[in-house]
Amino acid sequence: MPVLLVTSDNEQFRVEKVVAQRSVLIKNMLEDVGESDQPIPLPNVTAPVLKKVLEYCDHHQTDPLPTGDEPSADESRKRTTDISEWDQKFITVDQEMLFEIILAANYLDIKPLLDVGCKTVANMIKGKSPEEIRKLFNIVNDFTPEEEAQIKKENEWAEDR
Amino acid sequence: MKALIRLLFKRRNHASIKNQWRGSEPTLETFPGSLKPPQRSLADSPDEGLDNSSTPLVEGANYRLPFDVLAQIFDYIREMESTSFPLERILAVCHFWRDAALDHAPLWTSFNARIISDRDVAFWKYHFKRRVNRCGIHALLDINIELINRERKEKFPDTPRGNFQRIASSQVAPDDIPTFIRVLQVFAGTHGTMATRWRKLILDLSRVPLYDHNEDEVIGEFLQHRTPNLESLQLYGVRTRFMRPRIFPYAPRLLSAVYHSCNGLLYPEGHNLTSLT
Repeated sequence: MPVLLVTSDNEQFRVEKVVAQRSVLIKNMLEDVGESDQPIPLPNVTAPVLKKVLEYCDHHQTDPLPTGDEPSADESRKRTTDISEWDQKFITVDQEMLFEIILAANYLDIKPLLDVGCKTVANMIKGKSPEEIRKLFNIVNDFTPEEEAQIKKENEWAEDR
Repeated sequence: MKALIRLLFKRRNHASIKNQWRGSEPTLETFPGSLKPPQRSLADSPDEGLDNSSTPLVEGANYRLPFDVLAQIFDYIREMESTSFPLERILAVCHFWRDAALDHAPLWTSFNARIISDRDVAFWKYHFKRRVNRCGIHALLDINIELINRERKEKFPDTPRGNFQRIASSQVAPDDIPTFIRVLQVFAGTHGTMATRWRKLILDLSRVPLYDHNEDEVIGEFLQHRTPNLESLQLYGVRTRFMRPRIFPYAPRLLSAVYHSCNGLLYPEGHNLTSLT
């Protein structure tokens, strides 16, 4: 049975329930309203972003749903920052879209997608200096000179070796 | 704009809570002593009000991602960290990132220490206590230590948890192994003060050769601290030849234990153990 989703810019998307339910938020909403053809409003997601998110959900519709349990210490140890080939290709978007996807995944509660987005950002940050990170993400350095000096002292390990 | 103001208030609240939570420890403040964060807010700006779009705080992408998402990104960065890319880099990006990182306690209470070279030993000597100090004196610690020496790879096959990985060229020479092993003392703290805060401990010595009486002593001492909060213990390849230490004599909360390829140890009595491998 298809589900009707309405974005913040008032576009409607009709998708299969199994696809929409990759979002825990939507799944819970559907469970709350029961059998209904009422559209589901998604006021925090725009149409281009939802289109992209649904592409991900469609591709991963048969994946097992995350349980929500905390990983064991050993599992945590083995946690990897690798991203599958399809996901890698999927997430190769401009930075604005990447952040929008992450925010949408967070809002819609799609943990695997959020993971992919966060891993991608972490990979972008890896090996970079604070200045390079700021430049990469257009972040303003809002530290005072005194704070900068203090931070530099904290980072002596990184700076001196 | 309203969202930005909410974020600003959130940031201020976080900072205030954080400083209360961290009590009077000077090292736990974002900026100790006279180095206060800049007093910038919309209320402080010359043109007060919601429509002031000229405030410098709206520039850039400092607040683009919320705390919880940043925390998740930082978790991955912690997994990627190395001696040349320490986690502390993220503290130096901007106030918002700094606050998000300092508020995410697991960053400073979970340690994945893969000790391959002298540089790794120095890295953890430098960072361990500083990180622990960031999370308050009562926060419990999850410690994962793996010591590796490439020279002895042939004699010590891969552990059951993964393949042997490529190692940097600056590994420890066999003669330096007693020094190498002493890195364990860093994670136990002086007189075992940090051991009282261990919640989870994984120690993997499968890939390091141990021959020496002194090494046995260091390992024995490390495993004999009082660990009132230890819930989960995993030991891999921990072998003693010259002594037979009774490990973790006081571990009343121990629920889960894994001993793999260990030798020479007297294991703790497991009255509460629900899992033993």
